[in-house]
Order: sequence, then structure tokens, then C-alpha cells
Amino acid sequence: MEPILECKSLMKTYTGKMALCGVDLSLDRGKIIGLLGPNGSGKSTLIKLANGLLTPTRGEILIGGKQPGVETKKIVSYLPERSYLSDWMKVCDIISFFHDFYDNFNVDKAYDMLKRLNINPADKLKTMSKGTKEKVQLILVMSREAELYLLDEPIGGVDPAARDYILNTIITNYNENATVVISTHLISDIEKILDEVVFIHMGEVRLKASVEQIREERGMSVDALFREVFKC
Amino acid sequence: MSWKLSSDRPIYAQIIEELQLRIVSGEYRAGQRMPSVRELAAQAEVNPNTMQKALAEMEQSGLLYSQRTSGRFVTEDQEMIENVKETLAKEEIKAFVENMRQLGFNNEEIVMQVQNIVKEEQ
Amino acid sequence: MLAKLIKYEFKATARVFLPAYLALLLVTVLGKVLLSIPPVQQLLNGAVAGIFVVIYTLFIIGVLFLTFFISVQRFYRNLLGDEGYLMHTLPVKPSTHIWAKLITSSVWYVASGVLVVAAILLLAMNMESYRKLPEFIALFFEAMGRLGIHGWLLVVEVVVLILIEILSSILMFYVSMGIGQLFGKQKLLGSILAYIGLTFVLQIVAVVGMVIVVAVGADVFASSSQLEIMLESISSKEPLMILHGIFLTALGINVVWGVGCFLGTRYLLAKKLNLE
Repeated sequence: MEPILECKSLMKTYTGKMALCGVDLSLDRGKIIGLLGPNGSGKSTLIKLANGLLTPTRGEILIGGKQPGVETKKIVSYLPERSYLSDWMKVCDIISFFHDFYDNFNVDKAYDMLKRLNINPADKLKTMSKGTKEKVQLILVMSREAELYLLDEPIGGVDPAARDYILNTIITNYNENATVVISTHLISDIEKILDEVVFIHMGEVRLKASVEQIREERGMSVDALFREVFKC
Repeated sequence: MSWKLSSDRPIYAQIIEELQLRIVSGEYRAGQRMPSVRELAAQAEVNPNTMQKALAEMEQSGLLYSQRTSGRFVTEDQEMIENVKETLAKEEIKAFVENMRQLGFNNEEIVMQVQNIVKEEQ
Repeated sequence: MLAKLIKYEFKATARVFLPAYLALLLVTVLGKVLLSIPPVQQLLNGAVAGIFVVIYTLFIIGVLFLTFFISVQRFYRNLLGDEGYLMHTLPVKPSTHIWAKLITSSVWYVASGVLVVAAILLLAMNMESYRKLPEFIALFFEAMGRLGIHGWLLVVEVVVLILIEILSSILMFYVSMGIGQLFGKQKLLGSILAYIGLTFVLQIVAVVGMVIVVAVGADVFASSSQLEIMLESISSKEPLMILHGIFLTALGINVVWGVGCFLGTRYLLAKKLNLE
């Protein structure tokens, strides 16, 4: 089957600085994949290129065989590393916004998750803590029945209880044909839910492997391997 | 009912061990329906594909069997469960004996120590 | 999708404009009441009335500036700032985003303009002047008619020109910001520099255009060498032709410029987007 995400000699420079230097990568459908790397390694750049928020300097990136555009945006659900919602809106307004624009948005699922995390849909974002805002964004993103989820640092700022809930949400919500890409540097927290990992460093892919293979062949956790590969 | 999985060994192997233990201890009884892959994956906080792999392997060994529409069940073969129980017990004891030897006990001393502890607890 | 985007765009902007409009209306009514009650008028000496006029003028400038500011800010923040991460991941074409912002902005421009004129008229005129208004308009049209200018046509021409001018000037801000975002972290500075550059280009184009029109017009005069014909032509349609020519040139430049800015913005959002 056609890969859900494919990069061909993908390169991106920011005003002289190299962010990605010739990435070749292919991600299959139906997998939970960790995109792991130290800060500034190019994780966010890769994800933003997949969303069409950045334009490649050279090479190309394909989502389900297509360049980022209206068609790919229908099937990609993206959680950015920052808050992208308007502060003055209420949670329920934002839900109807998502419902209006995404055909695959499941409103019931969203309200259900809000209830379970004790978030009042009538609250304005302005009044919420940073952690709660992150939860709202994650709920919105996971309530879409997408083919590719791109989650940039989804567990960065939340408390352990919420983190468990988020991981649980990812496990229970995704369907067998969807791929979830989770970018993070907090590896030990998520490695049990991964199928595969992609190590990225200084704009290059260092390793792509199945996590069970790493444990079997090297007898170490992904976290330990990561520390070994990126030892300072 | 918590799953203690370490991430430096293959997860699916640890899942199999844990599920065997649960079946042997009667937490999942013979002939009982197992929770779905997704449910188990969520409980154990592991990847559903990994859970799927573990369950498939247990099906191969016969400890679980699946019915096309209604899901996965624990085997009704009581004898097989007993066998697994014995295998697990043997493995435990072997490991225990190995540790005791490292502490410097010989075979008779090990048996004595075990008898003493069992008596004390009664 | 366009309708949905416009709906949300109005929701986002109305929460600023409606209170501002309401405030302007209240100040106008207050002023009207204060200035039309004779005892109050006596109480208020010239200085107080003067202060009121100053405050009122500031209010009007405030509403007009707000209209401009919100128009620019919505594009910058919603499409090129953090909110752009959401807007550009919606399954919507870049041109639809531009249309939604442009249409909403223009509606507010027109609304603010009409409201400001209405407020000033309301404050400045009394019952007497209201009664004389139709008479005045009739006089104006008659005078225009004597000059050979069709009154309504002039009104339509001016209105169309203003609308096109609004659209193309908004689009010029958009394309400037589209260029500015290429500068990465310096996108505000980049936008301002781009705007200054484009203004410079537009000025040159406009001046050259006008010179051509006037030159062609003058040519027509010059070619009619005899004084009599010249006099005759002045009293007839020739100057009007030049006036129309200037109108149409201004219109043409604005339309071409606006379309250019639109296409430029669309290209930048579709092919050169860089949200760092």
C-alpha cells in the first residue's frame, strides 16, 4: 500500500540556517510512530512541511501521494506545539468551527472527551490555564477521524494524570488504517505505545526502526538507545 | 490490576507472561471471553498492534482461541492451563534456586530454608 | 467554504466594531442633545463646545483608524501569526481565505464610512437644513446638468471608484504582509518595507498614467488649431472627456493593481508560505 507520508530528498533552510538536509523517509499506514530528537533537530520543521505551513527549499513531501493542499488537509489532523486558537472564543464555538470545516470531525466524541477531562464547553479559552488549553487542542485534533495525525509535542506541558489520559486517547481513538506521528523528546513516557521510531538529529534521519526490534536486538529501551545515540 | 511492563525487553513477550499469569491465577477463567485488543491495549498502555501480536501468539500456542464473530476466549482445556501453571512454577523455582546458589546455599540448605519459611507462615 | 469563513470573520470582527459604532452613536446623540437645548447651549460657553468638537473629531478618527487597523491585523494575525497554524490547515484554498478577509474588511470600511458621514450629518444639521436637503440636491444636479455632467452618473462613478479604491488598497496591505512573512522573524518590518516599496511603484504608475491621459487630452486641444473651434470645444464636451478619462484611468489603474495584488497574495500564500 502507498505510504501515508513520504519525503524525497527534502530540504529546508531558514534564512541561511539549515533545518532539514535531504531527508528521505517513508511512513506506513496503521502505525504509531515516534519522531524523536533533541530540541532544534528539525522535528517541528518536518511536521510543518507536511502541513503546508512551510514550503520546501528543495525536494518534496507527499501525503498519501499528494503534495500538501486542500485534499491532504482533509485527511491530516495536526496538533501544533503552540496555541492556535483565538482566546475570545468559547470551547463550544471552537467545536462548531471544527465541525463546519472538517467533514470527519466527530462532535459527540469531542464533547465526551471534554466531559471526561472536566472541561466546561461554555468556558472561554482566555480563562483557561496553559495545560487546559493544550488538552482542548488535543481533544479537537483527536476528535477527527483522520488518516494521519501529526502531534507535535502533545505531552509537553501537562500533568501526569492528563498525560496518561492523552496516551489512552491516542491508543483508543486511532483506527487501524490511521497513522499517528508523535514528536517529542520525552521518550520514556510514550515508548510503550509506539510501533516505530524515527531518530532525527541536525536535520537528518539517523535511524528508523521498530521499537520491539530495538528491544529484542539490543536488549535496551528506546530511551536508553536514544541517550546512547545522542550522547553529548 | 496494573501492568508492570519494562521497556528494555520486548513488550509483547511481557504481555504474554502477564496474561498467562492472569489465566493461571484464575483472573481470566477457562472459557471466559477476553476483553478486546483495544481495551487491553488501553489498560496496559501499550500499542494496540503489540497487544494484537501477543494475543495472536497465545492463540497459536492454544491458550486462547477466537470465534470469528464473538471475539477471543480463554481455552476450555483445563489440562493445558495446568500445564502452563506448572511450566511457570518451574521457571520461578529455577530462578529462585539460581539466586539461592549465588547466596552460597547448597541444595539441602535451600530445601531446609524453604520448609522453615513455610512452617513459620502457618 | 467561503460563506463559512466569512461567517467566522464577521463573528471575530463584529465584537470590536459593534461596540465602537455604538459608542460613536451615543456620543453623537449626546452631543446633539447638549447642543440643541437652548439653556444648555447658554451654559456651555464656546470653550466647552470647542472641547466637545475636538473629542468628537478624535472619536471619528478613532473609528476610521480602527477600521483600517482591524483589517490589517486580522490578516496578519489570523493568517500569518499563530492562528495561521489553524487557518492554513483547514481544507480551504488560499484564494478563499483572501476573499473572506477582503469581503469582510470592505463591508466594515463601507459601514464605517457611511456611519461617520451619517453621524456628522446628524450632529451638524437641524430641522431647517433637513427640510432644505432635497432642494439642495436638486440644485446640485441642475448645476451639474448645465455643465453637461449627468448627476447620477457622476455619483455612480464616484461610488464605484471609492469601492475599487478600498478593495485595491486592502489588497495592497495583504500582498505587503505576504511579502513580509518571507522575512521569517522580521515579518513585521518586512511587511512595512514591502508596503513602502509598493507605494512608491504605485505612485510612479499613477503619475505616468495621468500624464498620458492629460497629454492625450491636450493633444486633442492642440490639434484643433483654430481659436473658434477651441472655444467651441471648451463649451462642449472636451473637458468632460478629460474628466471621464481621468476617472477611467484611475479606475483602470486601481483594478489592474488590485488584481495584481490579489494574484500576488495568492501566490505567496499557496507557494511561499513560511510560518516559522
